[in-house]
Amino acid sequence: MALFSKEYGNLGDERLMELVVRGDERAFGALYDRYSRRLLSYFHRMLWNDREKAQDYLQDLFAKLAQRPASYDPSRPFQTWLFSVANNMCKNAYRHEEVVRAAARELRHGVDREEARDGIDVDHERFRGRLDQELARLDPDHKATFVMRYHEDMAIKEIAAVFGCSEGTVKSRLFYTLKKLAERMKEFDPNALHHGKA
Amino acid sequence: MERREQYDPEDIESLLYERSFDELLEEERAYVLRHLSGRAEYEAMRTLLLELRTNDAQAPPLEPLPSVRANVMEAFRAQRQPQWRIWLNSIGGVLVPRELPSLWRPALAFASLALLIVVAVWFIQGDGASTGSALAELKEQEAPAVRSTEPEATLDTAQEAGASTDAEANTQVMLAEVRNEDNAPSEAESMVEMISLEPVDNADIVAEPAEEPKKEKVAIVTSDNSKQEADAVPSYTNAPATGRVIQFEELSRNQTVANTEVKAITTKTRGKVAVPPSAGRNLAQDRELTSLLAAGW
Repeated sequence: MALFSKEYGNLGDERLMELVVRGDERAFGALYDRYSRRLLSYFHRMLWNDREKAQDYLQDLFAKLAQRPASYDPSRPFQTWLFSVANNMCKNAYRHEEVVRAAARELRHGVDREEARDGIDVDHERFRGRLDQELARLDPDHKATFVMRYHEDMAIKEIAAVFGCSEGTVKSRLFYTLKKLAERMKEFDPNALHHGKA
Repeated sequence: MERREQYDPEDIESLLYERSFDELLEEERAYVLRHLSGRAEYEAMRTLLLELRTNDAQAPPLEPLPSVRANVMEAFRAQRQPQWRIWLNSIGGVLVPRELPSLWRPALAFASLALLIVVAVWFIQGDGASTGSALAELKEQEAPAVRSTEPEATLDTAQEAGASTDAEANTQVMLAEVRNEDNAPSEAESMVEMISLEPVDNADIVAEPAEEPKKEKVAIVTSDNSKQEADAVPSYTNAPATGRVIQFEELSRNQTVANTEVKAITTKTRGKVAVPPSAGRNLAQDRELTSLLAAGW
């Protein structure tokens, strides 16, 4: 197997997952290295910018993958399948942790304030905090669609595959989410924001 | 206007990324205004998208903790299948690749395996054949004991075949003579002479059954010597003669009754030389015939 070690980086996700199902540890490691950052960022966005929680969910996701690799549906692209699993985990998080949501949000604000003091542009931090607030108010599917599209740069088709809906639904969902967020964030007037940056 | 109908919200997204409201073409602006309230909303959405892009680019990337990777890999190892199964799965992956162009590898492997099996079977069969030949040699050694009876059977069979052939040939010859000649007594003499045929050696019968009729023709002698020839008949076998000698008068009388009797007499007479059972010989009384049949069995 050492002869083929260099090929892992060039193998497709589905091929790597096939090897994972057969028990190939290196393939599993390659998949982790390929998607861990993106998934961590996704969890971070979806789970109230809670880094610790994002790390935990990332570990849980790959632990599930390690325990039940056969649960992967080979007929679907691995990325789509992986993000759908991650999205379901986020939905469960919303469903079961509504009680602690407010507390986590308060904690996140505290962390954001601490990060803002580290010299990062205050306007960007304000915008990010406000955006996170508004995202948290959105419907989970709309929020996930928004995060996948504008933070993870996923294609409309991939997002549609994650949610199992049509591309038109995703487009419509994105449009109205963007419209709603823009309306709620009127305080960030374009001229005022750019003046602030300048 | 028709071009506007081709737009969808995703096109608005691309417009938001690329142009401000003032930079839109008239038809694009008209299309945007069908979905948005006005310039303020368009600019707010555009600012949001641009800020998202800028914000993501400036945000420090999140790095997964090394402990997460270690825990995940440990979980995978804990659930990993035994090593030998992994090895078998790897073999399966090599033997049954997903990509068709890679099928030549398992094909070559299977062909080599098939060739090895064929060679192995060939070698095994070669050993078996040598063993079989040894057994065959043993059987050949046993054969002489069995063959002790075979020559008799062969001789008997040949005698019978030769005798039957002989009898038929003689009968044909005699019938031809009877039909062609009007003188019945002379035919009767010839028939009596047929009785006194010289005994034919058994070896000649076996070796040259087709030539017997010629020999018999040559062996025909005159009726004066019939008695002497009849005495010579027993020399054919050591067994006593059991047939009876047909007298000339009897033959004439029979032939007078029916010309066809000649054929029966001829056959009956020839039964002494070569014995067809249908020729009238009594099987129970004929020791020679009985012994021959017993040997044949």
